[in-house]
Amino acid sequence: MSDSAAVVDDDQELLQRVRAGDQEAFYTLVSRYERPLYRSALAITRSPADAEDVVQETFLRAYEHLAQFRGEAKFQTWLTQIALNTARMRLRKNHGALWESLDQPRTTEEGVLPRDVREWRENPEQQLGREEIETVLHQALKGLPAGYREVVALRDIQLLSTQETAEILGLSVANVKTRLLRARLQLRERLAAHLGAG
Amino acid sequence: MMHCEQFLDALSDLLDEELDPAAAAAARQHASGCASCAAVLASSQQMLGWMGDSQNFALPPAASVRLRERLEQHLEAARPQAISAGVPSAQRRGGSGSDPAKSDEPMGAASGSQSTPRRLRWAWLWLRPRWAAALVLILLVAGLARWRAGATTVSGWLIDQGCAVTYHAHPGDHTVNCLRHCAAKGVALGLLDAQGRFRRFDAHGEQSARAVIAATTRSNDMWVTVKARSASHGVLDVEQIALTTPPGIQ
Repeated sequence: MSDSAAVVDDDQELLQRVRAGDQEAFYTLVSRYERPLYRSALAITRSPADAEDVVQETFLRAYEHLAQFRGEAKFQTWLTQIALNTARMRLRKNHGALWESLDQPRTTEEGVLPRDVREWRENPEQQLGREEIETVLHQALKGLPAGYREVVALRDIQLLSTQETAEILGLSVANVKTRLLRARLQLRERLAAHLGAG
Repeated sequence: MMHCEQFLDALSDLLDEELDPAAAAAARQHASGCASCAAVLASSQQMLGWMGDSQNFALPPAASVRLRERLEQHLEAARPQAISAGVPSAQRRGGSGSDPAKSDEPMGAASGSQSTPRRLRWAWLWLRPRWAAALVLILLVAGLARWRAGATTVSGWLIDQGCAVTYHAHPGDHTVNCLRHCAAKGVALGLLDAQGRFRRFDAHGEQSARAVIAATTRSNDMWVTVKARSASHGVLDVEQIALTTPPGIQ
């Protein structure tokens, strides 16, 4: 049995204990998934306070709706779906109009084709430090359209598979791949402005 | 022979190792002869490494503690309803809103017909005042017994959650300056007992601990005695914190 399958089985066991009234088993699930959920919630909402609220609300909703989770999907997939919807609602509440069209090619100077093809400076972690790298990444993510941030958050930050990302976003695998390519190229372009050599 | 545009189309799949071997070899061959595409490939790999690194965008320890506290508050309230019959509390409360996870099970299922009107169901209590008085007394006694059973006095090192790990073996060396610094950053405060078990303070305990830290003239050896109403889920429900003499010091 693979590690991933073992985790899923363990999740099911914990969920059974939660259903039987063992609240501590629920906290075990919380500690298992709070970090990956926070990381993607932060990438989507772009605010640490909002991300924290999203994670809290996600677990509360999951607990309340546990009877509806039938185990057809992985528990993490189900949780992430709740987190995504919660983050979207929060963004909508905070910013009004949320969605930019992703179907039309963007005509900004940060189009799909990379313009900045310089090599990045050597060992940026050593030159900038981890915190500064994180800040630069955060800034770069902030500028991405919401639909691109979501796909990057699930696939590249939470490290879900393309198939899981597609299920959660309700997209085809091909569509996820297209968005992912565009999102990564845009993100790389934004980072290149900070990290390009010379 | 692959061109730059074809290479970029294949870039994501190449990074995710989802290209078939022949296409991957062609893409790598192109990159080996094209400085621009090689730079894009290398920088994209580096970018994905950073994004996948769990140290970036990490949940701060204080946020994890807050999350646990808030969940405990909410779940304690939800527990009797949610767990007693294996039915989600949202359903019992009427299930407002749609299911956030698009579950195929309908929300807000009816809680069953109620043949007895609310006023009539409670009327019997007022018709039997002795029963009502006895019920109130039983509830009071049970509540008091539970409260007393949970009450406790514990001693240990006042320390923040982050440093409890670092100073686990020698908590007396943890300086008050470090404690003040960590408290100011919002790291949760708590008690590290002689058995090496760390328990966080509740909100009142945090406040009391901060007052103790602010007032002390000690530079380390933050041994305290905590009077707590209860200790559950690793959290001390603090009534009072007093700075006391550490064991082994006269």
